[in-house]
Amino acid sequence: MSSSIASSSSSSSSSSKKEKKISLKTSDGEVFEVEEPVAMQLEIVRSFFADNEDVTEQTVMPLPNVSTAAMHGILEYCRAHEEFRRRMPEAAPEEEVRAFEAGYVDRKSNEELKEMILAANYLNISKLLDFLTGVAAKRIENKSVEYVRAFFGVENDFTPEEEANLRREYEWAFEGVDED
Amino acid sequence: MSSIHLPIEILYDILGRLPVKDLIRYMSVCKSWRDLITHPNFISTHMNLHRNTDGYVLFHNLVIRGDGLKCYSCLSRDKNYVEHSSFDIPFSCQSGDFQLVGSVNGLLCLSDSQYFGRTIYLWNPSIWKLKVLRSSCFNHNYCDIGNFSAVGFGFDHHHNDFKIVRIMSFGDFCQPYVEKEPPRAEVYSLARNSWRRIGIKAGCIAIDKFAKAVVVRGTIHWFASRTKEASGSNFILTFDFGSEEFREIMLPRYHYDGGRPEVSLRVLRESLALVVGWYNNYELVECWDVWVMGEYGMAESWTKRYSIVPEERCLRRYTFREEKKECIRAPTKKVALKGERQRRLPVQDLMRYRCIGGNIFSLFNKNNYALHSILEVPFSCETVDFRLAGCVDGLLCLTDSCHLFGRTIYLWNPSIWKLKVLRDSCFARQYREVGNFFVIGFGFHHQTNDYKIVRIMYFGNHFCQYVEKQPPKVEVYSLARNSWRSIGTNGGWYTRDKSSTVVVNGALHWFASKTADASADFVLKFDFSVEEFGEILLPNYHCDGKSFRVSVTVLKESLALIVCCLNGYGSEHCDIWVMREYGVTDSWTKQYSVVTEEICYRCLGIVNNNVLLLDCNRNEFLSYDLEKLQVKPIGVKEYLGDFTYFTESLVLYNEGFSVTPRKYLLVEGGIHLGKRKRSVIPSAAYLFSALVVNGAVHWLGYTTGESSNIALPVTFDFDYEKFGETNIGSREGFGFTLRRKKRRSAVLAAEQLIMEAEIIQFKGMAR
Repeated sequence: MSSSIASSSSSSSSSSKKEKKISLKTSDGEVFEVEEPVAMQLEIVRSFFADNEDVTEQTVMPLPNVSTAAMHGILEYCRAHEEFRRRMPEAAPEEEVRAFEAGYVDRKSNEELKEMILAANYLNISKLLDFLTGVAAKRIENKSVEYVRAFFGVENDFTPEEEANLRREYEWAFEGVDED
Repeated sequence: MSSIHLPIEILYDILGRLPVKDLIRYMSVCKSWRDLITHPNFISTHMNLHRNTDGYVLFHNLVIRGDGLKCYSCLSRDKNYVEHSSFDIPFSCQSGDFQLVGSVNGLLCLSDSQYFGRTIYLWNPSIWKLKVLRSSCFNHNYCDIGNFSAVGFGFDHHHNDFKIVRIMSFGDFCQPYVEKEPPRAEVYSLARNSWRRIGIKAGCIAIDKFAKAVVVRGTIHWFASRTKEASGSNFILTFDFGSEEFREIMLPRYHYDGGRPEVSLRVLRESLALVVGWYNNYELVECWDVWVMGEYGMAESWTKRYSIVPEERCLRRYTFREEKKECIRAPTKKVALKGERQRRLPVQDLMRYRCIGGNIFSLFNKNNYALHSILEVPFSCETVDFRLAGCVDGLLCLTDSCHLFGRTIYLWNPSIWKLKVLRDSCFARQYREVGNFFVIGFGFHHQTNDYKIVRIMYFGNHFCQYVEKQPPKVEVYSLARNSWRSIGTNGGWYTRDKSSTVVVNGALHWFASKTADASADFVLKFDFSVEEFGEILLPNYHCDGKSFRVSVTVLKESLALIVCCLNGYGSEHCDIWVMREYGVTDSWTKQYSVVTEEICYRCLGIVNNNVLLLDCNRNEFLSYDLEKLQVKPIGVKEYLGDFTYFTESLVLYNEGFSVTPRKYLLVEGGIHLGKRKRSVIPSAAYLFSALVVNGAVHWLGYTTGESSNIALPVTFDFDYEKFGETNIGSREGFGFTLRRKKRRSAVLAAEQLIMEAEIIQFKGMAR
């Protein structure tokens, strides 16, 4: 399924040939050629180029904490937002942004989402991170404790008595929970 | 299984977005989550994230649910005000009725509506956590009845702390505020969990007791006025939660001629705003002016931004202010009585009338029949209302009405609020049998300087014509001896008057008839000195073919008879016969014959030794002066029942126990029973009189559990050792079952209990 993302990214990148490209290398060795304004949304890339004056266009910036799949998703988001900004520099078209974001995130599984959160955190894209954590919060809202444990991969380290006590004490909080 | 673990700061971010209920549930995900969620940093982060986003409009819903609790409705912040949720307050306060002090960051600050500010409840309804603040820096004055408080609740952003400021004013809550001493202020900090006293500029402010305070820029604002200047010098008192200082803000000149403003402080777009409602004389809103302080703290920047004129006239909303006035009806009365005692007015006639749901005596001045004051019986009896069996020297002799007449006798001196309840009898065995009924005579015996009660117990049916099954039994009570003594009698007579206070020549007198011969009437006398019954023969007062109503009375220290000659509707005329020489039948003379133009329904009796009171029209009473031979209407509009003389006295000062009418008895939370148990009073808080009836002590307590703030009787059952409420709407008319056992001990215990309760109150003040 990552192929569809790759194709969409390549089509949008082909439209502007004159633009400066920045090469980014993911953890599994794949090199992405990213348009400069898009790449500059990645705070880590921006500061890398700002701090190191000796880098050239040919420098491939290694991103060891970002997988190829996460990179695809992140670039899709960043390109879309760059597109929005270019079309309407003053105010982003909110409804379009929202429609894009809804469609964008629906295709992601929980694992992919977490992977992207990690990547966005590493790449320091505050806007995306904010959006993704919001999505994650929405996904665990009103869910059972077991679902949340599975979602985050957390081991239950309570003894059965402790957990039963907690549940008894806050019985009201366990009512009306959605199906997993 | 998942392999990706999100770093803690991202988890923090995700969890911070969740609603509170989810967070509480996810505390049981694992230990580190629990620690994260309950950490103060997370709590404040979460609070900051949600402060301005998804809030609700919270309404204090005054509609009472079936369970009597107020419910809150959360309305969503959208413009359309859809009800989001409603929840009950899951705890109760002293008066059962909460008032919202404020709400900051999802934390509600509530207090008792009646004892506003005394106990403060911090409640977070999202996580069902409650903190009750009962302490104060001013413990000494804390529980005084007259004090009242203004409370402000806010958040100190600098110290990340919730704070409560309380200004305690010393005065009477029920009266217009008179500054007895400067108010005191204290601040509570949730982080420190303690109160700290702070200085307030002495002797100049009074805060509207009912006004809502508003918080702007971390500062709370009250509408206040200066006590040292004349009215109109209002200002805004501010308290900065950060610096913990009081300041003042000037008000704009919002007055115009001829209007009565009602001013309240509000917040409009983060600015301080003043809403001035103008009411006309019909309590209808003419318009509202909205003043906005453009630049905070600059008095020059007040501008009248809006003026709202309703198309249809708005009724003044039902504020709590009016409700309070209803609630304080009783205490103001007693204040009036206190003033009356100081004035030392001459003899008054006590007339009694019943108004709906009250046992009320009204005192009229005996010369001009002007209403002097109103006495409310501060205790209750077993039946719906009291009957006045007599009044001698300011000592009222009350008893139950109807079939319980005479069974329990309440000697009450309303001038000094002392009460003595007589429940025992020499004839304890027959005493409570159904069908037996009583006749009471109450008088003062000059030779022994003693108040005496004669009680005649008849064996028969109260509701049917009396047939003498066996001779009546008679007992005499002496207040000096404080005991009943049985008196022998042969019987053979039946007194028609239920009660008598006609004391002439050291003897009580009733109008009576022979049981053997129904037509043979006479005056039955009971001589206090020898404690024997005797007979006085009647004159021949008969007119042909007419029925009579005869009553025995006193006219200028002589025994007199009022003979009302009846036709079908009322009496045609009244004859007054006077026995010029006591005991000599021949000395009966018809001294007066009063013929009224209107039909007289009944003759109330003789007042002032020379004035006959007649009830002519049920609503109009006539006085007939026997010396001047003048008829005058009395300006008394109420329906008068029994009436009697009333003079103030100190009788019963030593014998009776105080019914504590003026002093409210505050029983906070309950009463300690010995050392082992504590009984918790449900909702009543102020109890102001106590009476033990049938194994239960009864108070009239102001319970504000219902909206009407009526006084409900609160009971404490000694057998079950618990409090209860008799949910009869009026303050009288308890229904109970008779429980004979423990009765005597209960009476004793009640008096102890009252003392104990007073001790509790005392402790509360000294605490």
